Amino acid sequence: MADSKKTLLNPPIAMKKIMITINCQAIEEEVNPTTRLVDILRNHLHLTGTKISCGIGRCGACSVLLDNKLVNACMVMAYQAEGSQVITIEGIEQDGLLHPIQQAFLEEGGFQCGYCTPGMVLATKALLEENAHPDDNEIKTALSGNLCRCTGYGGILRAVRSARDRML
Amino acid sequence: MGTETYVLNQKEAMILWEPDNLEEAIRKKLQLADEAMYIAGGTLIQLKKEQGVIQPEHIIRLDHLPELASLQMVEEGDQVQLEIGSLVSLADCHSNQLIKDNWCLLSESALQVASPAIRNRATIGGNIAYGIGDLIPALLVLDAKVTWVNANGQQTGELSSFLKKDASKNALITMVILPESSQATKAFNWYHKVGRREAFIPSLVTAAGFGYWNEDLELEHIRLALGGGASLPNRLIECEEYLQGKRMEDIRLEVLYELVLAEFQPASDPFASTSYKKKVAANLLVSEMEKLI
Repeated sequence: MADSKKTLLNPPIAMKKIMITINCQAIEEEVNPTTRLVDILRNHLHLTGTKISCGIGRCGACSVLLDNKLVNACMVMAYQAEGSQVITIEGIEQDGLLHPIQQAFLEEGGFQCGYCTPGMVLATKALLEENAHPDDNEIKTALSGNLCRCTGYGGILRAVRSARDRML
Repeated sequence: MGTETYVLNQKEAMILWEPDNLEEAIRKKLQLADEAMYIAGGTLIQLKKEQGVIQPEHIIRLDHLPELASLQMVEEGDQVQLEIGSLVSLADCHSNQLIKDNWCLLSESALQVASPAIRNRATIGGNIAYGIGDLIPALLVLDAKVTWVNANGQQTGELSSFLKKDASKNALITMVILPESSQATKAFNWYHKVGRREAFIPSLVTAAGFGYWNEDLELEHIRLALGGGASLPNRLIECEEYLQGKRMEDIRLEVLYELVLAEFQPASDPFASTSYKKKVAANLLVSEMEKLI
C-alpha cells in the first residue's frame, strides 16, 4: 500500500519554497506547505504584531489581509497564501505615520490591553475599503469575528466611526 | 462531534497533495480512501486540527481548480437554474448580485455563518461536506441539488438524499444547483439561526422556510427545514404536508406547534437539551407562520 501511494502523478509535498509578498516585500520561505501563515509571520519573519490566541479562527487576534480580504492567519496554510499579497499591522503605516485607523483607535481609546488591536485595525481596514460609509450595524457585523476580552467595545466602536469619518 | 477522537498535541503537519485537475484529485482520493480528505478553504479542518481531533493524514487540495469556482445561470429546459461551483466562498454567496436578486435566502443565510474572515475562506461545498453546516437548512428549502463525484462516478441528486446516503462518503462535491426561484408575488422566506451569542457562534437551532400562496390564498408550495448543533439538517415533511394546500384561515398554529415538536429530533449537547431545542424550533416556525396568516 505504501508503494502504491507513491505512484500517482505529483508526489506529496514535504517542504516547499513558498513565495508570499508581505507588506509589499517579496518573501521566500522553505516550509512545510501546511505551516500556518501566522507561524510564518511570527516565528519565521518575527512580525509579532499579528497576535495568536485561540488558534481556531474564533478570536480574530491574528487577522491579516490576504489579497485585500480579511482572513485569520491561523486558518490559512502556507500553500494557500502562495503568490498572494499579505498585509499585516506592520504594513499599514504611511510614510512613518500611523494609519488614520490606528490614529482613531489611539485618540478614541479603542484599546485597553492592546492584544486584539492589530486584528481590530485590520478588520476595520477591510470594512472601510469595501464600504466607506458603514452604519453601526455594519460595523458590528464586520467586527463580529474579533473579540476584545477587556470588553472595550464602546471605545472600539467610537474608533471605527471616527476612522470612517476621517477617511471620507 | 460525538464520533471524533481527541488526542493531545497531535498537530503535526499533514501531507499535501496538489492534483493538476479534478480527475487526478478523484483518483488520489479513491486510492487513499479514508487516509485522505479533500481540502478547499480548510477552515473546519484547521479548527479540528487545533482542537486535536484525529483526522486523515493526507489532504488533497481543491482550491486551485478553476472548474470548481464558477457561478452561472444555466438554461435547463424551460427553466433557468443557478450553478454554484463548490469553491464559491460564503462571502460570495452573500454578496453575489445574482444570488441576492433571485435566491435571497441563500444570501441572508450565508451572512449568519461564522465571521467575515471565515466567510472569506469557507466554501459552500465545505459547508455541505460538513454535513451539519448552517447553510444546509436554507439550501434544503430552496430544493437545492448537488453534483458530486465518488467511486461510482459523477452524479446529481437532491441535497436531502445526498446528506442521508452513503453518497457523501468520499464524495467530491463539484456543484450546488438551485432551481429557478419562484416569481410568485405572494412568496415568503425566512432563516433564523439561534445560538448563545448574537453573531459568530455555533447554532443551537437553525431554521429555514420558503413558500408561496396561490391566488385563492392557498399555500401552494411550502418547505420547512431545521438543523443546528450536531443534528443532521432535515426537512419537516409532516409539517409541510399539514400546511400544503391549506387556506390561511384553516391553518391551526397549535397543531403545527405539536407537529414540529414531534417531527424535529435534535441531539442534546452540553449547552442545550433536546426539549429546549424542540421548543425553540416550534416557537420559530409558528411565529413565522403567524406573521403570514
